[in-house]
Amino acid sequence: MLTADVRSRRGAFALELSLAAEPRSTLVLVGENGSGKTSFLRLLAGLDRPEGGRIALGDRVWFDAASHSFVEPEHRSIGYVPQDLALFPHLSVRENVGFGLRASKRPDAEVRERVDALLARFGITALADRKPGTISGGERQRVALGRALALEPGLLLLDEPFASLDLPTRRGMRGEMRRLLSGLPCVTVFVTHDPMEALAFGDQIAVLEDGRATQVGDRDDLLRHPRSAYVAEFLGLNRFVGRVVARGDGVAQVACDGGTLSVVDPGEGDDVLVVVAPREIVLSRERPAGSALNVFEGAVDELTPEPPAGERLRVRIASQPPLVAEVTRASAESMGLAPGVAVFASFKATGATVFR
Amino acid sequence: MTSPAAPPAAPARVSLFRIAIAIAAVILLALLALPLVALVVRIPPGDLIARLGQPLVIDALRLSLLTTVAATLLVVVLGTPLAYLLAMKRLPGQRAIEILVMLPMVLPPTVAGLALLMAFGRMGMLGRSLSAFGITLPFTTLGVIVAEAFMAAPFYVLAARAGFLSVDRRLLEAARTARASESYAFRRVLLPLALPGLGAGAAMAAARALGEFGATITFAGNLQGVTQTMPLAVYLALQSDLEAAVALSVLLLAVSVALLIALRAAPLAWMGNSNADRRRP
Repeated sequence: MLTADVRSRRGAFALELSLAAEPRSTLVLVGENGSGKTSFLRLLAGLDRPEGGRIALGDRVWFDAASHSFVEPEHRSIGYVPQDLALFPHLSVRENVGFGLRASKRPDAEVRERVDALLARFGITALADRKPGTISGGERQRVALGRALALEPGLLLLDEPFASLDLPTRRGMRGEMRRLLSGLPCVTVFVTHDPMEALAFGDQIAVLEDGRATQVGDRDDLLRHPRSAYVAEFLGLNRFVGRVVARGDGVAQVACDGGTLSVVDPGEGDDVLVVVAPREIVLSRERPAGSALNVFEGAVDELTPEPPAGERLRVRIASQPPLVAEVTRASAESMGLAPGVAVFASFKATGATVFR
Repeated sequence: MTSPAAPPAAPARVSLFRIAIAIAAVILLALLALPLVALVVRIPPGDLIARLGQPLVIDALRLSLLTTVAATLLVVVLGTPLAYLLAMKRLPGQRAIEILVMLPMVLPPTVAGLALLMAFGRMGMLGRSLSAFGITLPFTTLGVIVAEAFMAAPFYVLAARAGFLSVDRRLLEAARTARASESYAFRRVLLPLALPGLGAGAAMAAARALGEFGATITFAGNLQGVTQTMPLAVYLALQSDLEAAVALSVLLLAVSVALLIALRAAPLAWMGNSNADRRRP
């Protein structure tokens, strides 16, 4: 069991968090850039020292302000995958994965055996002698995970594990990561800015705002009872509580307030929650000819620039059910989007995430 | 009549600015190159080889190589830890230490030699304690090494510090979270990645040691076979035997060029490598 109760201050930024997580579970910290996610991971890893509080994993106390105790990173049972992975560029894949084992002076035979097992587990045996700079993003990710897990840590720290991957790789790695994490005996703390990732990975989700957790709960709790407008906004605007009314060909029809949605059949269970990321929704002035199963017509209700850069616009559409889409400024202009203009909003069944 | 389709060709205007730049550059390059050319063409290759066989030359060459290697090793062994501290830690009086380390670069070498004499000379601050241990620095080969190390140290320490600083901190953090002690992270991550910087620093230090004259002659004197390095031998030969001085100089020039090539090649090779590492398939 991880218990972390930390206070830390850096310039004007203050972090104050009190979180706990059980072994075999994943705690996701979700928040925007600058909300303190990475700072929290660094405190857990021992790379930075909190000003107050206590951090303990099981009966090992890593930090306790009261007794002035602080355990250096190399003496904590952690596996850390930083956002940029930080693989050692001069070492081979094999040497990267075996780094921690070598550093803790395990016998050669043990190192070889465990590294071989990890390489096989992550499907990178063929890359063993390559340098990290010569392999793909997804492969690098596996190397970093292998390095982090080599010493069977009690706490695995993942900082935006998909941020460095391109989109297709990211989709594949998500499934792989989910299978991996569900089989790990350790506590996993996973940091992301992407609410969808948080919902997909978190047994427990903490929403971070300005260094504080404004809501901590499981997926249902967050989705059904967002405690603040910020959380609701952050988790996505298209959330529908509904009931499966028909199934077929792997597609389920979900009746919800205001309309029926076609989504990927979640299997068991009829009470579902459907979330559609605003970016999954395609807008057009003509009825779309493509294969999207969900097509809704409605008038543009409101256009709001998406902070911070304002490069994208959020478009609220008075369809049944009401939807919020996100488009680039350029495409909004080329379509002539303005309040009152009638548009078609469409998304694929795979564009919706279904929670039971 | 003006036709928008075919504007008249603009008169070839050679800018005054460009001419001025080119002239200045050519003058300076000539200033740098001409003396070297004059030196090399002064003596026929056959004569050069004959001159290099003289005992004066052989002694000076032997001594120069010995002291340069020894001074460079001394600077590397003692300078690497200092560079590491300067790069990685916040030391008390960091600025003062940095100024102290850089000082020999700007100090007139004769002043450095005199200062060494005041410290390690027979009547100097530490000279007496040293001689109690049977160690004499002034006017000995050991003194030459100390003088060269004194003058060469900043070149190595600054380059090595830059080398250490060029290594991404996040790699060191990754090493520590993977159970590496400070010394393991140093040996396995920091040192290999900073090596090109350390190599460049060592080459610069060696070049400085090889060319050192002022501090050596002031602190260690000019005794053939004992403290008379090549630059000193050139100076001495100049007063009696111009041809020998030229021969020695050509030899020094060759060694300097070789060092410089090594110096340029090392970081280039490294950059080529790291580019290859960053390449994504």
